[in-house]
Amino acid sequence: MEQAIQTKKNFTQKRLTYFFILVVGTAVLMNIYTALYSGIYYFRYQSANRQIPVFRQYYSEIDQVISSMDDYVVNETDSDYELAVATLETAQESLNSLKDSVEDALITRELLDLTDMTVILKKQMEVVNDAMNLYHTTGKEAFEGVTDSYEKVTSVYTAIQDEYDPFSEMLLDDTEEIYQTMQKNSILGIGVFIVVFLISGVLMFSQIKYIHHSISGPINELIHSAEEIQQGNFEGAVISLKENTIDEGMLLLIQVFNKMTEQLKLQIETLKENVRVQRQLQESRFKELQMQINPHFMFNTLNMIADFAYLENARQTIVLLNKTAKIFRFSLDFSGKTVNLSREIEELNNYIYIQQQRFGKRIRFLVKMEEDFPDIKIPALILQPLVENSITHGVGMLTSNAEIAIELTHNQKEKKISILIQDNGEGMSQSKLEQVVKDMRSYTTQSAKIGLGNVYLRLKMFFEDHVLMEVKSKEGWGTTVMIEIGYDKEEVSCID
Amino acid sequence: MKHIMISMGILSFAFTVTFLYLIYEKEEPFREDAKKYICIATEGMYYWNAIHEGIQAADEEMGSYTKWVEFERFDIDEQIRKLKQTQYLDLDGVITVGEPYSDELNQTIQDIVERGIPVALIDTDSKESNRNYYIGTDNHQAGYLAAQEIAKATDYDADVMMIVSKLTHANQNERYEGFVDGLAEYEEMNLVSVIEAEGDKLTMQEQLMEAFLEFPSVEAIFCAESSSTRRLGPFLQQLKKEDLTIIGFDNADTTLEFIKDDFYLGTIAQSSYDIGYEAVACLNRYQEGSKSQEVYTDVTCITKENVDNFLPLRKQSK
Repeated sequence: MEQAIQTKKNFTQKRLTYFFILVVGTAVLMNIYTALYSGIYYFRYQSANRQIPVFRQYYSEIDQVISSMDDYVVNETDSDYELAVATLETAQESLNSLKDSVEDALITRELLDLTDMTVILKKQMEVVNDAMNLYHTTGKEAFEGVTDSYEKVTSVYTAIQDEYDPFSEMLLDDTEEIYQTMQKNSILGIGVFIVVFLISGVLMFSQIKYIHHSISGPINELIHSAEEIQQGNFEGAVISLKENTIDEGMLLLIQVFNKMTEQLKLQIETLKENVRVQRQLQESRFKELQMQINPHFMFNTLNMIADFAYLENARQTIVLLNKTAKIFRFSLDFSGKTVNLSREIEELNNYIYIQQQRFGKRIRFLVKMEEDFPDIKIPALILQPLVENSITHGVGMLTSNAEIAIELTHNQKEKKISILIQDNGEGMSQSKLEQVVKDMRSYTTQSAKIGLGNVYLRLKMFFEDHVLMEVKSKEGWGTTVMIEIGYDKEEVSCID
Repeated sequence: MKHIMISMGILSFAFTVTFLYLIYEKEEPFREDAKKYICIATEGMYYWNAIHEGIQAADEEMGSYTKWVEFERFDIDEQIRKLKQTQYLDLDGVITVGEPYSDELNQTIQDIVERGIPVALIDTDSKESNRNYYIGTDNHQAGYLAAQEIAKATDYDADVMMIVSKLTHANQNERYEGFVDGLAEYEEMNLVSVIEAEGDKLTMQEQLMEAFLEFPSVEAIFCAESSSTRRLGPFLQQLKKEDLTIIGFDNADTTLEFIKDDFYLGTIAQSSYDIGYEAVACLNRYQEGSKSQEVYTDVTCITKENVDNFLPLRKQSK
């Protein structure tokens, strides 16, 4: 799980970056492409266009050559001939520059033809010049040579001129062709643009879909989950992270949401439990109130019996009745409360007195307490149930020499008191003792029995870790319950 | 990141390929060692355009350059002038149209041949010029084929008329002879009149009117020349003479339309593309040692059955 979460880090950011690079990259590529393409074609078109003026210049130069030659033959001026030759040379240069810039094979062929004819023209002009020189030296008869040779110049000139129309047409066609190709290719280019746009559009769309999916998917799950919670269904509300293409932030949100759902579920369960406990508590209070009715009747009865005893002069009965009433009152008044140890012992003595009257010499009760014993607070009715236990389970079956010793010792240094309730009754087997101890320690308020466990629990609740309670027993030898309580000195006064 | 690199790589590659494709120059540069020819021929008309195309195709295939120079039809003086101008050029061969009755043209051609430059005559031959090659329609066969077609269509029994430009033109004469030979095979087929239209519309119309008056029995006409073939149809429509069996010459648009409309029976088509192609091929063969040759290209008769095959071909060539 942890590994999977790692790969989702910055998911949306990455996808957005990808998307952005695609858009910008496509745009940049297209721009470069368009610029290069139109640049190259512009250059081609321009260079083709430049050929026509050069071509025309060549023809005007050739015209000048012929008119200079005309002048030379008519006026017999050498300077005209020199001018004609010079002009012809520039015309040849024009032709050469044209040849360098032309790529088309047929135009090159045409240019070669023109070059050939220009060379022949030049040679023929030299022939005319020679004829003129001969004419100058030999006189009139040689003039026929001049006219003959000059006719040839004119013939070549006509041939050159005949080339003008088809050649200029070829050049224009070439320019037109470049233009046409450019137009045709630009349509193709637009097609390519559209295809590229479609491809990158599909890629971009997939990115957007990814991003959308990584956000709206979890949100939909959250909404679904919230609806489940609204209907109280916490089981279906937990979002499972099966998708591995969700955003990191979304993952966090879902995790928080899941934790929230679980806590809400826990709180609602606690609330339910509280309500249940509250109801139980109310029920038990009601029972308690009901139970308080009986003691009042009992006290009235006891008082009434005491009155009768007084009338009958039965002193012993009066004392017994008074002691009994005191015990009942104590247990009624202090049940669930704390008392001073001195008061607890006083009430224990009342109890012992009654039991002494009951068992007579069969049981001997011994209460020993060290001097300056601290009068600490303890939960009420701790000692009495233990003594009662000793009577019922310990010495109750013995017919003579039964003894119950209650010993209270005090360790001033360690601020500890220890209470020992010892009987010499029949005791317990090892297994029974273990069972009893186990029952004592696992005692809860729900248990119906009152006894060792109840005492142990109340002591634990009151003194927490400062109390120690142990039971020791041996079959045929008796049982000892030992309680050790640590106390805080400042709070305690001593028992008189 | 890997995805981005791959996508951008593919896009860049596509762009580069397209760019290079669009920028790539299909033209080949001029080859210095290539043979240079010149073709001095008549301008216009489908027949000559097809010859030009044949020449261009042969050039492309065999790596030669043939310059196309036009002169007006029947202007022999201009043709001679253009031919004479070739002396100023560095050439490996000349293609032109022959005319056996023009001594000056024959002389000019002979001059070129004597300079060591091979000459190929197309369309019309002229043996007197000492030309190296002749490439053209077998005109005798063309006339013969027309006679066969007409005989078939008229149940081998009809009076027939023939239109030529001028019987003194060698190709016209050959077609005439072929036609006569073809008709001679059938006893009932008679050639009653030969009209010399001289390439002129009015001349043709006048003579045709006279011929119809003189020979009302005429059932079929063989028009052995391209321009008269085109003019004949509309004129016959004017005369309301649309029940004649007509075989024309060359496959001009209007001629083909007449065939389609069942007005003309057919037309004799020359393989002009082949003529052009073969002319260049002959000149190339000269370089390899073949010094003289006559090449006759096939003629076919276009009828209603196969006229559709020629109509789209016409449009392509335009």
